[in-house]
Amino acid sequence: MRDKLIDFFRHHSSYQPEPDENLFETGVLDSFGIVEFLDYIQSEMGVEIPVDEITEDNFSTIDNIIRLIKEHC
Amino acid sequence: MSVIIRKTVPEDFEAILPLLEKFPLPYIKRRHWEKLFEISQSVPEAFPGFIMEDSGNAVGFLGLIFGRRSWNGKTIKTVNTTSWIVLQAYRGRSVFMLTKLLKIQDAVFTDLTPSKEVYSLISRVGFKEFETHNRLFFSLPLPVRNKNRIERITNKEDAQVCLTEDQFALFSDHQQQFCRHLILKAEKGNCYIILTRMVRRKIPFIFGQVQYISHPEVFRSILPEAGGMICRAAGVPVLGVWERYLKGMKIFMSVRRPLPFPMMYYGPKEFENNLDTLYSESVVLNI
Repeated sequence: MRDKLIDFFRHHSSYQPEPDENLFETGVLDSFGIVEFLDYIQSEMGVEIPVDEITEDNFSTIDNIIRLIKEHC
Repeated sequence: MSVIIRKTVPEDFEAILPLLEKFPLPYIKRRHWEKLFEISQSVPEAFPGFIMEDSGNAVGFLGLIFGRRSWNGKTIKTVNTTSWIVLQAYRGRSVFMLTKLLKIQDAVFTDLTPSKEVYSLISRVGFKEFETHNRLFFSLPLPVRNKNRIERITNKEDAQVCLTEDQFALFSDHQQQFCRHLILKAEKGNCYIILTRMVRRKIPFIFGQVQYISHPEVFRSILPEAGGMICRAAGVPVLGVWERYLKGMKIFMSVRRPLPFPMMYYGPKEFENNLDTLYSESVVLNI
């Protein structure tokens, strides 16, 4: 899953983030990116994240996103 | 960088004002912006919006205008978003203001004047279009059928007599000097109309905009003369009516104008036909 996510972000921002790197501070993720990313994990993994859990903490690093996705798998 | 998003309180106004002053609206002064921070008394859980702060400094604001309405036998909150601004360096986090907003329970959300960027973002999170055009009527001396009349309501005593309880609440909430309250009396029944009189840049006269029509079918039954009747009763030469009230009618001597971006809503589709613009920046800021 980690490789898939890193690929998504590399494709989205032309930058390969480390799993614990802050995606906002590095500019890898922005508001439109999050919406695209939510579409991506819904279509590719069948995972729907409730609006309650779309928070900066949950999306700040790839590790946090993986944890979040696993909770909803 | 320690960024948080929280509900605003009226005391946040001074911190947020410099952000609001970045909007290219030179005719909107401090006293106008302050109105966004006056809490609606009819919605106890209302608050002025969300603030984004970095180390205690305001870096973003999403204004909210609350209303409470009874539609289809249900009482719900309406939450109109307005004056959304986030400093460039923090725009990547704007979506979290939106997701905070959507956590408000039992509400229908609207954005009546989205910018290109906001339109794109809110469309992607599920907002739908509900209005795309305004129809302009002119104060033409068309013949008025005998039984059709229009009356202006100017005081609470008259309003209590001729309005329902829900309509009276709307009357009480819209006592600004630029609001006009009219009763259209036609063969098909009565129709309560609220409009605002506004001065537009580059338009050398006062423009009227209908914000609410209680019974659109009554209004439609006396078109096209209703347009001119309302213009004269409200003292405006030109009147805007959102096209949704007209159900596609072709109307003699009127002009259809597209909005820069469609009005948007998020919530149950059953309320789409009830949406209006009463609790919005159009009324609060008179823009």
